[in-house]
Amino acid sequence: MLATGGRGAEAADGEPDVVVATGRPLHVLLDRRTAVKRVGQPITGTLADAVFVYDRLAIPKGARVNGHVERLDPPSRRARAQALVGGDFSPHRRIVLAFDSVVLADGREAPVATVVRAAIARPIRQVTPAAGGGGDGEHGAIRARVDAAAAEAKARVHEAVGAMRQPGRLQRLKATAINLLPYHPQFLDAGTMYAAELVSPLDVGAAGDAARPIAGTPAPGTVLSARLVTPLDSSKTPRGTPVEAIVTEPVMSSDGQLVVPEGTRLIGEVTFAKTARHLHRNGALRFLFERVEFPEASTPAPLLASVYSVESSADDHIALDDEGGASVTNSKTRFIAPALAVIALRAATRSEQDADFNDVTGAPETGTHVGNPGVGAFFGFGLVGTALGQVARPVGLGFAVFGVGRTVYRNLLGKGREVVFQADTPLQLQLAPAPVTNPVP
Amino acid sequence: MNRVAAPVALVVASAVALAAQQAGTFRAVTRLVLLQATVVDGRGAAVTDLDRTAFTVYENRKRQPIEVFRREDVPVSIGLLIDNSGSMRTLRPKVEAAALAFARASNPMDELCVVNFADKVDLDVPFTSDLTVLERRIARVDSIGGTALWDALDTAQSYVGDHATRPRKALLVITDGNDNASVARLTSVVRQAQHREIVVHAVGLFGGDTAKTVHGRRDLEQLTRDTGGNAYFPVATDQIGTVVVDLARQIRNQYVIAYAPLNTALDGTYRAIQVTAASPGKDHLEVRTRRGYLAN
Repeated sequence: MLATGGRGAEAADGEPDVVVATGRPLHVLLDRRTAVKRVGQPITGTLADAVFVYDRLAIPKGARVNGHVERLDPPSRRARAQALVGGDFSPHRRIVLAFDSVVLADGREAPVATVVRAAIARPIRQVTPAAGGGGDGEHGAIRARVDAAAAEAKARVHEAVGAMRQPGRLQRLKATAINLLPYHPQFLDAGTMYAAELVSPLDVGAAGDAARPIAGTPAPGTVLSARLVTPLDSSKTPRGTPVEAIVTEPVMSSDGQLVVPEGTRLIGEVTFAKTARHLHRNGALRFLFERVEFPEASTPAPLLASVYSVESSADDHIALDDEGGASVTNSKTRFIAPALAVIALRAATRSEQDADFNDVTGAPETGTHVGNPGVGAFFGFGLVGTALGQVARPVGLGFAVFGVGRTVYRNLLGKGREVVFQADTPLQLQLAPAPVTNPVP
Repeated sequence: MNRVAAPVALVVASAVALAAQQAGTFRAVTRLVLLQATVVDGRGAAVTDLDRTAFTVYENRKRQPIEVFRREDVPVSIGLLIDNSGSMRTLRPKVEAAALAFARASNPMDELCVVNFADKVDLDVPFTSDLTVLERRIARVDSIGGTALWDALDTAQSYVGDHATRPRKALLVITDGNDNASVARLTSVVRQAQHREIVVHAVGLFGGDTAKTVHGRRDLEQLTRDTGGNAYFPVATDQIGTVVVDLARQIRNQYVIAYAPLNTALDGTYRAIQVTAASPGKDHLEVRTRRGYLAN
């Protein structure tokens, strides 16, 4: 029997089975953009990362996963109020998905029971820029490994599943336009990644041979694939907060020996946390792993590993520095909305001043101006504001002023964004260039 | 500044008190402000042959009487702060070799400690004058994580301030990056250094002219300028050794100046210090020393 943190099973012929344990998340990428209509609506996805059990592959990357819409929860009062203030009368409901089956390598469709713990829209893998300022060519082996891992990490994004992760710009523009309507349908975007945790073990078949023992130590600079166990937030997890991650892919030495099995626990702590502040100053977060606990080992061993790459939503604008620290970058496009709102308001007020008499004929001006209040009102109350602005000029001007205030506060004066990593976030960790001692069980 | 840390200063303070007692009229304790000063000419070359009359000391723009003046090789308690963050992986061997070269070029009576810093700060070698101890324990092969530079300075200043046994105190920071993991701030670090009479020198291993490296240089320049130290930015890693050996010589040739402030009030205000030097036949002399202290 091979399992990660749970009991396994034996096949009828007595051969040990490979069992994916309860609690193990399956990272599923949604195949296509889907308009959500009802509970029970079927959905399909693809496994973003291969699932390993101890030292072997259990479910290959790209495996098909089937699920359905489990629940449609109403939005919170705050979300509803915010949507209404923006002229949106159909705020997004909270969509709860469940995945029911996965197609294994042998073509068998195995039933699974899952709970979706997290979702990452438009996932991208952020990789630390190449570290090492000297550039003297020293430690070439480590540098080569780092470069290779970076190339591998980037390549993953562009592989078959990567294409689905990034909805095209046109598609995103279309979605934005639809969301501007006062009443609009709600979609699940293609490429959104869900972390679906197994709530019961998944038996994927006979193991074939016995599990390999841990032999040797991981090479300095080795990059480990892992998932975060502890959710992190730069405003809620201060310096000293314990952090755990679990290795999701076994690491072999150059001579084929198992050095770090899947299921190995990494233990560390938050070393720096800066809360986001007003004037759009964003949060920052650093964490470091200092101990390793191999499966079935009684005591943790020392190990130093820092963040090498992390999977996050492109919308979160997370960036990693060359020493593994995470921060949020401000988009340069955030100046566009306030600027347009101010221009629209200015045009609207001018049109009002100029509207009294025609400069040439002296006749009263009654025509519609380019900068009429409806345009400015769009920034305050969406398309509804635009319509109202056409009917009643004072109302339109009011919405335009409100729109300027709102966009300026939201994009320039308001609080910045926190660095947030949900539980089960996939990440890669790089070991320090120091030997690690394995306590062989 | 409410205490006289350096023995030279204590001697003067005691002498004043003793003279007062012998007179049999009153007892006074003189507060001295101790300065370590380096003088360079217009070409940046160290000027080491000036006498007491060449110097003028100002506190808040008022001239102050110099009580103590020395230009001997006074021993120093030095803290070596070495960046052990992830970006230093390829540089550590050269930096460690340079740190040892610095120790060898320093006064044999000096005592040195080694503080390594990354996300966290570790005092790896407590004060020692034994070079073999330094050689054995300076090496680290676990460069990883961020750069908690200000926290490291904060920790090192506390340690040096509390445990130094030599008349002068200094820190040498060797780093390749901007601080990105500290709770402490540059301003508080500078204030503490001025309060504890610690001179901070820095070697910045910055490559290129990105906004980040410009910011890093500016911080190190402010840190060293305000505490009376020197900042070096070698363009190649091979130059680190040369730079620190040159710094060791400069430290050995520093002038020690102490003055009794005319304003004796300990009111917690900041007192700006300016020292000038003039000598016949020597133009454009620049005195590098700390720029002030808090009177408390």
